[in-house]
Amino acid sequence: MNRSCPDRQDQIVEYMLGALDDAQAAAVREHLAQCEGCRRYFEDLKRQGDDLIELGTRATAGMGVREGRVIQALETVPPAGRVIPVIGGFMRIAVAAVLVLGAGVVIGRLTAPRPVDAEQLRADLEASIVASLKPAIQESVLAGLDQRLEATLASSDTEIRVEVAEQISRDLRTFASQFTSNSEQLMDRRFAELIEVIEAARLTDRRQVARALEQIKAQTGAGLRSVAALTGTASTSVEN
Amino acid sequence: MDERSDRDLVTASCGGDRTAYAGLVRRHYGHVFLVCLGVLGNVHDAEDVAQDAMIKGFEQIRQVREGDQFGGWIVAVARNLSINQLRKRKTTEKTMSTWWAGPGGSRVEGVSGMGFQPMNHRQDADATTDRGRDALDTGASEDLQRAVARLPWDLRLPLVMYYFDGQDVKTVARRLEISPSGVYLKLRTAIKELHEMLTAQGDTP
Repeated sequence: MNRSCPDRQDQIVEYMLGALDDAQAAAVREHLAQCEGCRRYFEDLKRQGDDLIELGTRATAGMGVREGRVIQALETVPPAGRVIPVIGGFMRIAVAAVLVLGAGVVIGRLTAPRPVDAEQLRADLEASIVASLKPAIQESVLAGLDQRLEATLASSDTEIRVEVAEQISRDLRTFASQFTSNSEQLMDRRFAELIEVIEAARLTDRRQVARALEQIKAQTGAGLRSVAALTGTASTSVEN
Repeated sequence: MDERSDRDLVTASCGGDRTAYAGLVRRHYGHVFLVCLGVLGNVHDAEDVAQDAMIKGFEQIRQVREGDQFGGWIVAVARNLSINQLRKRKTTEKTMSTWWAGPGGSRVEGVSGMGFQPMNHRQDADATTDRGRDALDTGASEDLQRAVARLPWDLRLPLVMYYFDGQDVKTVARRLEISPSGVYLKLRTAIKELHEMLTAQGDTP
């Protein structure tokens, strides 16, 4: 049995498929007319093609039954979900990628530490510290003031007491001194006045006594003279 | 079949109109199923994942910016779900591939005609169900099924879309979001590998 020409087989297949232009097809026809092996090869391929078509006819037989099964199966399938009709295939993937990247950028920006604003940070820290420490400081200061006040008062109290006592003592001493001095002077003056009064009274008394004595003397002299006179007359008389 | 445009049906479905979405299911389920089949190479897994894709489409239909783009959008959903499913069963699939490709052809009874791959546990359980009968019961094309199943999924998917779904290369390229030349390259590679596998098995179509 003659075999086909190996270098002609591709062309023969393409000729059978109708892939050759007119000139190439004519060349193949000319060769087939001259080469029994290639002619048999071509006939084999044609028969093989017919068998394939026949096989396909049987394969597609009963297609109506298959379609019926599919349509029956579709009865239990829910209708299509809504998608964006204009976005599909590559565009959908691209949009999804952009969305994912965009979300990543946004999340990154939101979560990334911001540049340090010294003034803002200082103000925030100050406000925060003031807010957090102010009550404590106030309490601490008040407590300190209370303690200092109490200590001051305690010490002042002692000092004041001592000072007051000293002052009182000084005042008392001064007062006593002055009082003593004044009293002595007053006493001296009073004594002097008293002495003067006493002297005056004594003088007055002396004068009164003197006058009384004078009067007494006078009266006594007169009486005595009277008596004497009376006595003297009686005696003369008696002598007589 | 609902005569309204995809745009109108999508708009109505966004409002929860199940009847409108049923119209979209009838219009696009075939493409979705074949994309799943192209990736997974297994009819039963393709049915399950295609159903999951249509349900997910109803749940997320508001993501469709232009109603006219629903077809491409739901196919992309189905393809992604299928690839995820393929990864999940990777270990099991390797085990199964070794199982039925091993020495002596140690196939499990029921493998023939049950899809593009040897039966897994689910297939075994469904072997007598309607779904089992819906699966490929080819007989003569069993080798072709197995050859298709052995292709890498990135080669099998454009092959299935081109031959099974009758889509032209430009449509396959648009739905797979690759260039037409890329689709031609994958188709060429897949077709040549299939031929080599079938020839090696001595069962040239």
